[in-house]
Amino acid sequence: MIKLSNVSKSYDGHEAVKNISLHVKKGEFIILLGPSGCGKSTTLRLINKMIERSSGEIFVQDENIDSIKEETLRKNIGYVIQSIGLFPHMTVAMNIATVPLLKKWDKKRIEERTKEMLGLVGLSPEMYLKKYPHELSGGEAQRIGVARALASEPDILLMDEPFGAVDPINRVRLQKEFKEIQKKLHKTVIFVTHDVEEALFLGDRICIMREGEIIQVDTPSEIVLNPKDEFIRDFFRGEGALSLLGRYNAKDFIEEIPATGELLAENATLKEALSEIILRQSERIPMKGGSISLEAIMEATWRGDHEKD
Amino acid sequence: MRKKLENAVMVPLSILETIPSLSLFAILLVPLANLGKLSFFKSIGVSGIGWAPAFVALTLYTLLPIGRNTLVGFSSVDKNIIEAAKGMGMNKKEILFKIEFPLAFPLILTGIRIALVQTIGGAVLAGLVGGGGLGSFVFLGLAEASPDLILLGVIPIVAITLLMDGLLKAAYKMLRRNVE
Repeated sequence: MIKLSNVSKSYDGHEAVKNISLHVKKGEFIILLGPSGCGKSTTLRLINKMIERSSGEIFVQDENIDSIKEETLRKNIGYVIQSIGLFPHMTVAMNIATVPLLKKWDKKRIEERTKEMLGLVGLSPEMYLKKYPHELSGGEAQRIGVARALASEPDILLMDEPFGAVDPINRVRLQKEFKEIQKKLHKTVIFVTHDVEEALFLGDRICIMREGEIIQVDTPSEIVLNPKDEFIRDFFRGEGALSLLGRYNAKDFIEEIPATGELLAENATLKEALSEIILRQSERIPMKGGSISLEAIMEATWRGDHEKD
Repeated sequence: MRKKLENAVMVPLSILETIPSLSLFAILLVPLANLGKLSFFKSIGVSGIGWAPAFVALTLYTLLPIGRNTLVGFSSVDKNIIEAAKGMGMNKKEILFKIEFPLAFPLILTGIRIALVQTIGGAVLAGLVGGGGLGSFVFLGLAEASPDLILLGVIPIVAITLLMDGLLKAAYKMLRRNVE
């Protein structure tokens, strides 16, 4: 779907991206993760030609991006940035309709699509269509940003720290919602972040970058359990295993053994289950259909993704 | 490059703005008198005195407030918004007309308002160089020490100024409503 081969980018002598190659499959959610200045945003912006690369080749849907007009390329790739950049002089409806309007869709189709998009991000069309961006909260604005990027049905979505400016509680909510949306739409997503927890929660694969180079590309559990070097180990130290638990649904680990106490929420993750176990000082907590044990959680991390595949 | 162009336009305009209007009338007298010798300009009534110097001078004075506000208007558009527009596939023309211009317009309008009020005030001086208008009543009244004549000129000038200022302020508020 997206292929980078031997891509480099240098700005006046400084190499921001050094000879990287990456292949993103259709429907894959890939995370570019690394400390600030590692070249992850630059890599993302090379793909939709927001910046020109210095060397190497980039293919989007099997087509060399050099042979596609930049405006055409961008119209077919959803793009969400941290500052969102909603247009303050346009209503929410107009903001969402931006790319469909550029693509000259007919009015009726745009209208329906706009409403559909608001529904998708969990905002009611009646309440929000006529609002202006300054009337929205940070979380709402970010949802509109996602809706706007998805409006013209792009197959590919590039996201540059899209939830970075949202407060922690809303960020977790947005991440969960976005994961649900992705389950429905199966877009090919490239997502830039420096937040380890976010990366482990959302990504199908994680691409770790440092100083313009790709260090390791692997599934979340592989990266946490088998880090390639000390840098990556350090990067996840302290929260890698815990964040990984956030990926698993507790209900997949239920044992048919009764336990007493308050039932764990049905959509809880293993991380939340572990937190409850610690708080209740009990090695087994009940959940609808059985219970979750500390032992099961400890094992989960290790069997993790292998078993699911 | 952009900065150079900006200076090339804004510096002469700022210098122009510092020339007192009466002096500017005087400076324009000779060139306009010469221009008036050409048949086309003669036929539309251009001469060293009369409406021509007032018209030219007042037009020149409007350039600075309108130019400066246009500049401020465009440079105050949030870079992230332009980045987003570009990222969604708008070309330069679309960014200019759909994003930058609408966002800069309220400030451009403010420049027009300042220029308008300043021009109505400045137009009084046209009376001194034979340009006519309400200014002639004011200066005639001053010469003859007649308050009635002065007021006959001044009251409509004040009324026109307030009216135009009010209208443009209202337009500004309407445009700005959704942005703030």
